[in-house]
Amino acid sequence: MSAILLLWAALVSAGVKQFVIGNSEHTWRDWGDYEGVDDASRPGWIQPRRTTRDVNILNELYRTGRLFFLENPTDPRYKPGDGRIWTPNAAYQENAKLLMLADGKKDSLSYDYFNRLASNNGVCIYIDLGAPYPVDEIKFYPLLFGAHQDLYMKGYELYANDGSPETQDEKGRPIFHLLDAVPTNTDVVVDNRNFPPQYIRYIKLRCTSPQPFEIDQIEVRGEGYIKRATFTSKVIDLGDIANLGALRWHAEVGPGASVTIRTRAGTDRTTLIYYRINELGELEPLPGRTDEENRKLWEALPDKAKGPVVDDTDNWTLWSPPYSSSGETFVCRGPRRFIQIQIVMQSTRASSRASVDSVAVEYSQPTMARRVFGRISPNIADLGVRRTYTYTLVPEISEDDIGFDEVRIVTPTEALVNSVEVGGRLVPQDKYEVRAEPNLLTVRLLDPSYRVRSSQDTMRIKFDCLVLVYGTVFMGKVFASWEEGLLGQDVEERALGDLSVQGSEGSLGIVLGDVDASPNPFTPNGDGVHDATNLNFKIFQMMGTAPISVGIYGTDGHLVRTLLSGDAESGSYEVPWDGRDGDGDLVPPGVYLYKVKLEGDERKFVRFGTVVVVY
Amino acid sequence: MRKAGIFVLLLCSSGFAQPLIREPLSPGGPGVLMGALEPALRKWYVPQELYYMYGWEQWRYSNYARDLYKRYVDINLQGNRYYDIFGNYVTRGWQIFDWSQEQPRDFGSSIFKSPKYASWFDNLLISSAHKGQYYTALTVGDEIRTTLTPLTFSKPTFNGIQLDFLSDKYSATVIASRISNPGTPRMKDISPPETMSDFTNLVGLRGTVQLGRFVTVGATYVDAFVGRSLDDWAENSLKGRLSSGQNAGKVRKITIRLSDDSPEDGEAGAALFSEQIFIDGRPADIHPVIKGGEFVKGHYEANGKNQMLLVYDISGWSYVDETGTVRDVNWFKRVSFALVLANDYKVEITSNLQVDATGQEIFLPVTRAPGNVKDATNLRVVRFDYGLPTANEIYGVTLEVSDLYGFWLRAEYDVNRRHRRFPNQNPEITEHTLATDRSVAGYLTLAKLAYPWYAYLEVFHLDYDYSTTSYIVDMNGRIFYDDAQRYWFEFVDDNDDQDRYPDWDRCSANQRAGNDYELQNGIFPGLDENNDFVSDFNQNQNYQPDYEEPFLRYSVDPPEFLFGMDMNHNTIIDRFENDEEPDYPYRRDRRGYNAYVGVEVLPRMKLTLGRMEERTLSRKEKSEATYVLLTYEPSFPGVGDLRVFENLVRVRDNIPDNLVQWEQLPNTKGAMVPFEDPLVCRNTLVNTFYVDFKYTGKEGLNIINKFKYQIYHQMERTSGIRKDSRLVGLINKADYRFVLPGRVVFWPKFKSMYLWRQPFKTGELERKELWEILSLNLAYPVFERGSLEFGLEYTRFYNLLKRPAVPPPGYVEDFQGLVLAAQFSNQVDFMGYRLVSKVGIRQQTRYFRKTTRTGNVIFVRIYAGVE
Repeated sequence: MSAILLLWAALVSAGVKQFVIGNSEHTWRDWGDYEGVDDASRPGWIQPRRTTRDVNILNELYRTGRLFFLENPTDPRYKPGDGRIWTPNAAYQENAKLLMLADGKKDSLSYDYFNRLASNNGVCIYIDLGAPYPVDEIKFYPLLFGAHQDLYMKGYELYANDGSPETQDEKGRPIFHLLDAVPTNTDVVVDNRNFPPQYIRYIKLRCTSPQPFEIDQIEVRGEGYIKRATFTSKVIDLGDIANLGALRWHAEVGPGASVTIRTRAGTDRTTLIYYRINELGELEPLPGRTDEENRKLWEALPDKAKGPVVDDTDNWTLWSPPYSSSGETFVCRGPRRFIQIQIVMQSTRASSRASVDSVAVEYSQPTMARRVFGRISPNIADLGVRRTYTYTLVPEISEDDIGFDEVRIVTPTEALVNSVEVGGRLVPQDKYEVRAEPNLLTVRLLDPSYRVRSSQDTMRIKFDCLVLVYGTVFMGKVFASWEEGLLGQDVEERALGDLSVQGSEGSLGIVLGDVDASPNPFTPNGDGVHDATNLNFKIFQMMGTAPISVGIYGTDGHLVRTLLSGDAESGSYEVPWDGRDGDGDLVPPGVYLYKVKLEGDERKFVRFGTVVVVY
Repeated sequence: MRKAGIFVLLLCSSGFAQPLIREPLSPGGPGVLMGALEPALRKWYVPQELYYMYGWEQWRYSNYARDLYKRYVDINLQGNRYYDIFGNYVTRGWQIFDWSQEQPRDFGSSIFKSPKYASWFDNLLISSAHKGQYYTALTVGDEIRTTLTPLTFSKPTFNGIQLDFLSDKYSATVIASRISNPGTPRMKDISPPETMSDFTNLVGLRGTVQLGRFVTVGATYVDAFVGRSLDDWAENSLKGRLSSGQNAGKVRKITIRLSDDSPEDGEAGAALFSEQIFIDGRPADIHPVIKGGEFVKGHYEANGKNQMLLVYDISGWSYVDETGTVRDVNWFKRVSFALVLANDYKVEITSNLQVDATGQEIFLPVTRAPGNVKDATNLRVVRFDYGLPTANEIYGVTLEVSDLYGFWLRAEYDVNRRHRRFPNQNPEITEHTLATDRSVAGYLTLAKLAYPWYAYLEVFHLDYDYSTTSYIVDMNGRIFYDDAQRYWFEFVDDNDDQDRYPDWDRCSANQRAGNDYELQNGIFPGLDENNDFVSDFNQNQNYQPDYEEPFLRYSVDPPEFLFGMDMNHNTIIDRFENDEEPDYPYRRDRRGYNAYVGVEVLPRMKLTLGRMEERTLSRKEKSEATYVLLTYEPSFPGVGDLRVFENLVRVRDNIPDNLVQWEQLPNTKGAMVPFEDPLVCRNTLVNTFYVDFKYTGKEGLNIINKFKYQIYHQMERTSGIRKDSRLVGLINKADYRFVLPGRVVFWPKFKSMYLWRQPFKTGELERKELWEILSLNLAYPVFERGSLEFGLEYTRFYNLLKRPAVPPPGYVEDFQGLVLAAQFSNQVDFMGYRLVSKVGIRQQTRYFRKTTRTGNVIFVRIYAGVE
């Protein structure tokens, strides 16, 4: 399959391309693994499986080999997500026999351990369906002939839990809620539907009668969509490293349902590392070229030789946070060749579901470089103090890469470029173009001879800037402006923090600072000279906004005028005052107080100062 | 080898009073026997037991014709002789209790409890003395009710020793216990004691001094610490030592977990800007593997339910110290961290040595951000050391003022220090670096009475991490930190129902925990007024609450008609609340005050006006309320008793006060069910009015009227919450017992109950119903102590809400009910017991609009009692 993809990629010319899953070329079934996914009910779409009342969920688990006995099954085939059945009131061998409660066989065998002299009051049977299913009926009964019919459970309580983390105690055990209690049961076949349809993963059947009982079968039925279904794509090989663009998808989401999409990217085909334990007791990674290959090699090992299976975090990123909307940029810093997509469809209502038609990833080739590493220095600076920074770009360029001539750097405040250097050569000022916006600095090399084309062409940009927030990252992207349609390439960090500027320790805790008034004194006499003053201050460090107010007060404390009232975020501020009070009249000459107050979540930050009005 | 330690030795004498020092019986070793100095060849036997006790000599002919034979008597019937550490003879008897600690020595901590400790003394020994005003008592027991102060030590079943001293002005108490294994009575007197090399000991001290007539000051100290008997005595530390199980390896991997301290708001959790690890004070160039979290604008965030793990592998790092020696993981003594964090962070830590029984790493808390900051204005460097817990120490002071110019004051302030040490198995490292966390708790209550006025003020502050929980080691010196039942010890128990059994399950607590969902004996504070451990709403412990059961429902009213104060505004009356927290006077992580002033307007009529404010320290939650309370309880002789309760509260409360409450769900006998505070008082006016009248004018005629009106009025719209939620209830009932000729008793009863309940949440079922119950009981005596009883109960139930097209679950239609019962009772004394037998039948029928439901019970019951 990857050979076909390579061929397809080669046929497409340089520019932005799309890899789509869910079309006729890359069908869902061929391009991923399912967990609870149904792709048959709606051709071309994936959605959660739906259960119907004619399917006994417990029997289905048994038939598909996904039902195990014991609370901690010892069967090596057991995987989290499989079903379990157990009772704490019987020994190991008797627990093994519990599987017959789900075999669906109407034969002469039933679970008869509790057909005994000892009191059965309090005996419990637990069932884990492996996943939350919509359930509205739980049925159980003994053998329905002869004396066995008298051995029905004479009193019981049914409990359930939906398996969500919020309904588990601190040890991860489910906290059950009561579905129904029948202290005196006279029904041989208990067909309990006395509870509203709901998602159930765990069931507890508790006997409240001391009388002996047998159970032949337990049936669990319901109708609706399962609560959660997951599609995980195979590793997608883009043929060569590519710059990744937008992630788009088309889905339909019913009420109470949701679609969550995550991605990750890597440099090789294996997302997991399967280890074997060698003769010396050391861990050795298995050499397979794909996860599937490694998994087969690993499963073929004897138990003692099976080592751990871990995520390959050296070559793969972790799963991204969920994308909030279609069209967001693929979360990955730098180009990658291999990507993977995971789609989770969930619902809080059994009658509602989310379904996905297709998902597509934008990417462009060729790349400007294999990798472009960036570093900013210095890494530590006083917040609010303008200083010179050096932004260094170290490319790794192969012959398949085209290089770049444009750099865009995200800056916290407007930057002023001092110099640009490429490959050790200073670029004359007329050979590059600068566009400085409040939060973005763009430098473009005008002369092709200065383009960055090889790994020796380290680029350095010196600029003056002001940092207001601890841990400001100067993210960057490089572009080949002569090639239209190519996506930009992220500047990466070789070591975490290379592109970050931390505040000095002395800056910590300063949220409101550099407060002054200028000019001070001022003369609001209309002569055009110092007719107004500016109250300057900086807000450091904040995320989001906080209420701010700036006011002028008399020396007796009375409010003369409120100059500013609203929300503010980190930044530099200048608030003018023209010497007039709240009624618009010029204030008498004298000394006035100004107060800047920022109401942070933790506390208020207040700064005072004086400003003099003379005429 | 130095011997040092605690010696607590209690002996029981064989019954003969003997002086403590008795020279002929003092151990003096064997001496010289002059009689044995004869130079004879024949064998001579030293006179011993046979000679002295039975007059038997080897050569003497035994003839029992005249002096009859006397059988052998077990000399052990009188026990053994015991001597103290000075060689003084103590007594002849049995050693009942011995707690010794010998160091340094393997298994040096030893506790012995003789079987007689249980069989003779029922697990309690008291040794007391007094002279004049001075009293002292040494109590050794398995279930001692002990309280030092409410914030430091309070247990209904303390297993240990308590030494008390009391005089007119002074009092002092010392408590001690080997809490990791306080010992159980042995099988035999000669059984070996229970010994441990690693142990956790508890010591506590409290002393009070009365100053003048009104003032009492006190000081308290409680400490639980880990020790090792293999260590030298001087190495003991009240800050604890690492046990052999804790120090059984080297720290190779440390993981820090950052998460959102308020995950329910889904935003502004932990924001990590930078991190640095220090080993032995040196910054180490070790970068963690970061798992989870989101990288946003140059920093990592963990919001909502997301968590971020920083995994540090320190096994490969080393440094060169001042002497030029390379120090690697085998020599590390201290690992500390500096994290630059902001917003609402929670920090926890674990390592490869901090695991549970399955080897899984267990996180323990480090710190939390105060409040719920979302704008990063609390950016700070958070520094902490890594270590394993070794001791929990609390010290504090108290002040009491009694009736000084009408003022009553009680105040307490305590400091909690939790110690931990960095483990390293290297035997050359003997001093393990200590780190300490500190928190405080305190309160003050002040009351003034100047009739008819009264006033009250309470102020309190408890840090969120104030802790009276200590970890205890097992026989192997291990601690599995997440196993509360086995490895936790509580200085202050959770015992909301104030019975002898703590509500939670802890090791060596000698308790029957009542919070297991499986157990029928639950915890229902305030609902067991007769202290029989059975809910007052289900005295006959069957599957029906008494207020729904035929004949019983006349007397028992549903819980909706209870009333009382709800100062935390979680809709549960405070005196019925049960939680799973230690019984501190105030909740942890809270700070606030409450003040009220009142006046007795008329005799038995009190009017109180008050204000309270409370906020959580680690989250940004607040509760503030202004309230008015009016109570009136006049008694009208010859007529009856009236009770009036009116409580109007203007409240803003978003602090969740969750509980675990006893609930009798349909067809069950009851179980503990988690209760989540519905937070329906975020901006609310709550009015509760209750009045009841009990007629007592005529003997035998009982008339009771109850009316309750409660409304929660929301001052602003809240999604999913009704603007007005009302409860209106009215009960009128009357009964009169006619005693007819022939001792026939005829007892008619009538009860009418109206209940209208609007639930808080929209979409939940509203109830509006009227019950009319007429009950007729006739008892006819037969035989000497038997009787025939007949009962008839006729019920009319009206569902006053319009019947929906599709009735939701729980909807009950109108019906008429008829219960007929007949019962023969007899009492007889049988084999020392009073046997009461009841044979009878009860038929219950409900006639609905379209259906009829009938249920029959035939029973034969016999009770054996002592009254």
